[in-house]
Amino acid sequence: MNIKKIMHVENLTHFYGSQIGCEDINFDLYKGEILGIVGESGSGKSTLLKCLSGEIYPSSGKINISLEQGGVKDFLSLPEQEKRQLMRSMWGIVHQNPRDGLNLRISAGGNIAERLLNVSEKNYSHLRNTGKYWMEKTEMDSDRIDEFPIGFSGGMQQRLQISKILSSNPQIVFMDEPTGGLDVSVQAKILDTIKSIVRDINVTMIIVTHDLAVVRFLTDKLLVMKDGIVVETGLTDRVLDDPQHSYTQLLTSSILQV
Amino acid sequence: MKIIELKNVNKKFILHNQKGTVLNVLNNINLEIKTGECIALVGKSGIGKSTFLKMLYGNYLPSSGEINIYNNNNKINIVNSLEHQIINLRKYFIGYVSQFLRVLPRVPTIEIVSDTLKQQSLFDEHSLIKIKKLLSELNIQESMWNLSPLTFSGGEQQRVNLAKTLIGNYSILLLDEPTASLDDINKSIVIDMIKSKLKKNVTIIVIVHDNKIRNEICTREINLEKYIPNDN
Repeated sequence: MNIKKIMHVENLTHFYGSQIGCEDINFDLYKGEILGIVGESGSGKSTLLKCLSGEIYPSSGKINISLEQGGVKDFLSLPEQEKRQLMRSMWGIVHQNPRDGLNLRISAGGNIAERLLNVSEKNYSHLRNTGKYWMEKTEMDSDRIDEFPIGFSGGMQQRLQISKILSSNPQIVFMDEPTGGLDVSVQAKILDTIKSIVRDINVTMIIVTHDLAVVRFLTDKLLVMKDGIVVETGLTDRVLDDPQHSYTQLLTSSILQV
Repeated sequence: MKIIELKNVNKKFILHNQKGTVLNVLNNINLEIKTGECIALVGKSGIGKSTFLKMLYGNYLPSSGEINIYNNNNKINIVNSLEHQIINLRKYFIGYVSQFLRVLPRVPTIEIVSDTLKQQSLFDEHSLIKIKKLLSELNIQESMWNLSPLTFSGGEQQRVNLAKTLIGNYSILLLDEPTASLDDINKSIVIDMIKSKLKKNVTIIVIVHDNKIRNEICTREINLEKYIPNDN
């Protein structure tokens, strides 16, 4: 069986002035894979995610992207306009704080439609049906499609943000601490929702989190970061259960038991 | 036909944060397992039976050597394969029942078992009947099917853990003490299920302490004593 490689990252490095953000990152991402990036705060994981998702331009390195229609593009050397178009149509970013990814002054349905309009979907009833479909898929009440997300709970807002991003069928989804600001009771349910959607639509994802329980349940493979570099990489349960690097051993042995 | 092959496999653990202690566990394992065999792993507690099983599943990384899994004409060395290749192998080919159930909180038992079939793309309109039958056979009461197993007793959790893997269509099953916390009635039910898997030519590697069970189901024993490193 041959699975398509959709992202190839080579020697990716970013400096903030003379300060290292992330250094010499290398990995491949295949279709349907869920990659977790873990590490303590300041380890460079969010910098790496921002470089990968196009939010910041790295100091050096290479990101090759395989296009849906075939062919490979060198993402960093694309003209700005083409880059923006790729990001809008092929990628989706789920922010830690749903308010960063939603427009709270338009309805839930409007938020989802906004994303779909970017990929040139214009038929009103189709937009509305897709909105309802995704709200139901993320276990929201689709009767609330005309309500404003400002009145939703944090968990509901996060579900709406996930609906919005997934509705346009992105090739890669980037998630930054997707359950970071939520109560544990809501967190488990959202993880389960994300997991079942992932299986249904075979989406490829990169998730940044400091929560090892989240990566164990959601991700296939891991990059463990410390001081801007990747210290260990591999199959998620292998890295967590049989960590090789001293920092990974420290990280996995520091989890408090409830 | 060989289905699993270990070549010069060594396993040691280096505990960097505990004064760099090196635990040299298993040395120089060379062996082959054929399709349809039921292998019992034996040796005293702490010798590395679970470690052996976990290496076969790709969960532990051998310090050196090769572990080849043969799927028809495909050979996969799980020591150096890409992550998605191992995940694919685990989805369709190798099932593993750990000693303890590990699931997401608040997910009902019936969904946990269904999930295996969904992953294998085998879930259809007959699946629920099949799942319910299996749960009933394992004496998990109907009133518990829609509850999360996390609040179940040890024996019940173990049976859910078994159901989750036995429902699937795997060619290799790795079972880590599958009957440890079961009473005699449930033990013999599980043994019958293992036997019916063997009839379907599934290859099974099992850690089981009960001699009687071992004699009843296993075709061969692998004693790990002979892989103890000399320096221990």
